[in-house]
Amino acid sequence: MIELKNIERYYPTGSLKTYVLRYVNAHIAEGEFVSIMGPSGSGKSTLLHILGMLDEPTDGEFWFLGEGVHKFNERRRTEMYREYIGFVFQAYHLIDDLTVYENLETPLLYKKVPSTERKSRIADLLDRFNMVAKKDLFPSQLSGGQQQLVGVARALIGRPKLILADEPTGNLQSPQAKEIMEVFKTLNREDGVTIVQVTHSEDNAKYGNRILHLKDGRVENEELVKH
Amino acid sequence: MLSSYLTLAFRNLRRNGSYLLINVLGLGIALAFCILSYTQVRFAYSFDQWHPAAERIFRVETFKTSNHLLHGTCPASLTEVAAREIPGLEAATRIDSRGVVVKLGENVFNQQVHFVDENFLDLFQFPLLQGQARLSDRDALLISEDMAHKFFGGESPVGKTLTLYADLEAQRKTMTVSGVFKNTPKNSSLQFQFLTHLENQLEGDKPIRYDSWKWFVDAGFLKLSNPADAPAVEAALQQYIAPQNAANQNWQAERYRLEALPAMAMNARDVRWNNLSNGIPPSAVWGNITVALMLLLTACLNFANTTISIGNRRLREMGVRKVMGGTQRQLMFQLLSEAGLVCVTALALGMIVVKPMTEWYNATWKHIDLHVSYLDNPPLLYFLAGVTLFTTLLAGAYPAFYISGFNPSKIFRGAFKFGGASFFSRLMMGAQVAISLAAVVVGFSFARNAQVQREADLGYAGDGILGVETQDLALLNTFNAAIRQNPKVLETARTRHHAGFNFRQTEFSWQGQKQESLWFEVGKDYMPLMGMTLVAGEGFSAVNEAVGSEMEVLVNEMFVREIGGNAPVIGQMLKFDTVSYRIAGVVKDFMTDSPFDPKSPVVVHCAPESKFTYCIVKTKPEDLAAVHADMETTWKALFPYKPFTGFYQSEVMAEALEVSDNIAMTMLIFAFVILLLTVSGLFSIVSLNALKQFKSLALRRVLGAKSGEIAFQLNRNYLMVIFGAILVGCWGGRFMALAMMNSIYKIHAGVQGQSLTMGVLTVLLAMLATVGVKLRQILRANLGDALKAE
Repeated sequence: MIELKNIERYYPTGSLKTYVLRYVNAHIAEGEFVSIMGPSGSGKSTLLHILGMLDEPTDGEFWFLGEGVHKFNERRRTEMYREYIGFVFQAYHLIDDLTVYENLETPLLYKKVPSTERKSRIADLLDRFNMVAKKDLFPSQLSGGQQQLVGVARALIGRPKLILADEPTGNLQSPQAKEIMEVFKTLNREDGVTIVQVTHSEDNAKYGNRILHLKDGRVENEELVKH
Repeated sequence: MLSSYLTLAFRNLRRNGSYLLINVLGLGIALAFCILSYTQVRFAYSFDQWHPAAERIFRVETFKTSNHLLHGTCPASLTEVAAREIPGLEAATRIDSRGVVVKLGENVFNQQVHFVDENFLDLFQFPLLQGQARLSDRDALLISEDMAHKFFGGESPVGKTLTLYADLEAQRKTMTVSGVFKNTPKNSSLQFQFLTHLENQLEGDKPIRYDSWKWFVDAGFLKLSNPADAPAVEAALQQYIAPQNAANQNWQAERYRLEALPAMAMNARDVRWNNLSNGIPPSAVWGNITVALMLLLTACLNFANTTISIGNRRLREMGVRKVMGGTQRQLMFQLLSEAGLVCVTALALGMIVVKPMTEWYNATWKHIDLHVSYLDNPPLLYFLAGVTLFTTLLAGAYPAFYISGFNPSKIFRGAFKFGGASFFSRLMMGAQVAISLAAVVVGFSFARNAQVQREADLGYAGDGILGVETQDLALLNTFNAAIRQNPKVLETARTRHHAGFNFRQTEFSWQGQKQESLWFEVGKDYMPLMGMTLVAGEGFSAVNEAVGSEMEVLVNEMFVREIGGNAPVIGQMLKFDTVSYRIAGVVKDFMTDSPFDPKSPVVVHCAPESKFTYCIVKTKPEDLAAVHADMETTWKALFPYKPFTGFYQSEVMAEALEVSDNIAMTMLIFAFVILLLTVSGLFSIVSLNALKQFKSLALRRVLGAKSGEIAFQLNRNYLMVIFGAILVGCWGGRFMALAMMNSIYKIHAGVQGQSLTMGVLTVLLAMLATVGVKLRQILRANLGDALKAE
């Protein structure tokens, strides 16, 4: 699904280049659950942003579903967001002025999903995540764990092939974090959704089946997780 | 999708109440001004359009040979002859007027009566409310509903009689009111209260010969079968130059011109002796549009600035929407629809506010009658839709483009904030400051102009002067003798012409060249009484009451400058017709009419007593009212059947002062609104900038920076912009004020340094106060929180 070849990302600082990622090579197959770990400043989030096409590598090649992302224009990238990629953020990033229902509906509106199907899909997800009673609440009326559940549901509503999660449990207490990770595990195993997460937590990383360890912008090693 | 946008917009606006209030108020007032301006433009261009044959009716105007100027009058017989002889003409009609004493019972009034051909109402549509037109009946009189009320109260006037020329025993004529017409609308060039047949117009004691080429009517109209024939008809009219010039040696016509009825009012100010209503000055129309656009631009800039300043809160939403598949175009549309919602709300406010605004405007400007109605006015609705769309794009496009354009990756990293110091933000703020300064300068300049006009040296002592007019010398002398008995009357003088009231325009020969000037015929006591001073020469050597100053005249300073070429003129000769006059002295320039009219070269001649029409009375300023009351009492006692025609000399300046005060008030209100909008926009930008620099400002404070240094740090990006804006604002304000003054007045105070200085100080003070409030907030902020904030 994802092929990274010698990906580099640097920021010019005066006449010098400050590298955030250097010679990153990776292959992520469809249906995998990959965790990216590393100390602060190792380039984890930058790598995830590149995978999510939010940022562009300054060098190297990124292939997604057999297509060269470096050749994508804005329009094609937007199509990718609509059809294939769902994001989950550490800070949830729900839209404050929209209710739970409306937050879930927004990606479907961009996908131009018909009204009846929108209602049906949202109802399914609300039911699946036990959020039916919360559908008319605003994000500020929910706990952190509930907000993240909505964030995950919103990422799933468009039925993406890939979920990119940037420290999805970073702001949550352990029980809530566990609940979210269980959801990811189920999604991966039962629905076959490919998941790439960035995490600081060893425990959370082990929910996946492979861990990429980053250090100073390079992939230091890869670890397979045995379940 | 749209409903989702609108729902979000409603919630977002509800959360930002002060933002919504400021912008809805600002844009609402601006849109109300736009509606008012639109309505005024429609009114200005609606003059005379309602007549069914308006497109086919043309006024005949005349270029005078001596000065090549266009005159509104035309030879009395021209239109009738032309209608008979030139093919393609369906009809001709004329209108003439004069002041007539109208009497009912014991009540007498001076009224302007209009005399017309009997087909006048066939060409022009002035609806009758009662009775019949009967203009062919020489004894019939049509009156307006105002006059019906004035003379007959609630009773029907039809069939009742009024006496015209009541003051002239031999000419007195009893006429029957045959009908009452609806008051002429204010957007009519033809304004009249009494209408009767042309033959009722007298010169002396005889009806005027309207078949003569010597007499000129106020206006002559031709109705063409086809308006496309106008150039051919105009060419054919030139054949009547010869008979006119042969009949009238003193007034030689150069060319006749046809002016289309619908265009007449807008061009009226270019026509000398127009005699009809002038319409709205183009300067007033364009002035209002400029004000509305300036206000709208300021409100839009303010909207853009405040939208960007609260946009920081929307960045995360924009980023999330992008990663959910929203394109920049969709996000722009979303933000524009939110701007549209604010504009529509503002429009609703503007549509309400414009109603009382229109009433105030109509009360301020007596010659204007604006009505704002929506449901029966599709063009206004189209205009409103257009202006709302325009405002939405003007106010919302930049913030929409700006806020939706950021890369989500930068937003999600969390450290990204945008500030108010970008080039475009600074440009917008500079534009706001420049516009508000220009508005303030215009306001102060007109306020100063009103003050200068109030204190202006008129060239004569206007204080304590009263007067009364009568065409009858015997009456004048009787009144003069009687009023002199009042101990409060210091002096009286009799005269034919009187400064600010009337004069004659005449041609003469000067050193072999034809020249034109104003001709003042006065009595020997007139100039001393009026305080007119001689600046050179000796004045009239001898004045005989029966013949006046005979061969001597005085001229004013402008005559010396413009006609005399600044050379000595005393002793030089002027030739009027066949009579030569010696210039005996030079009088100081004086205001011959009002500030709306230019200063002109003047020749003063001592007239023979037989020509006197005014009795001028001088008293102490504090006795003016008492003497005026005594003049009226004396007049009514002496001449019970003649209306009292007394006046205060201050009336000369009254209209100009009223106009100046009204404009000054309008411009000051406008400047105040713009300044408020600018201050709120500035506050938003400074706040945004402060937010961006929050940490660095806090660090500077920790490191020991004083409040002045913090203020400099906060505003340094704007100093050059403000300096530039002050220069542009001063220039723009001066340009606008001068353009407006030049188009309204011929004599005005201009834009003085005082107005510019006060304008700059006012705007700077408002800006300093605004920045000061923000600075105070920063200095009072908890340093710990500030340093934690990033």
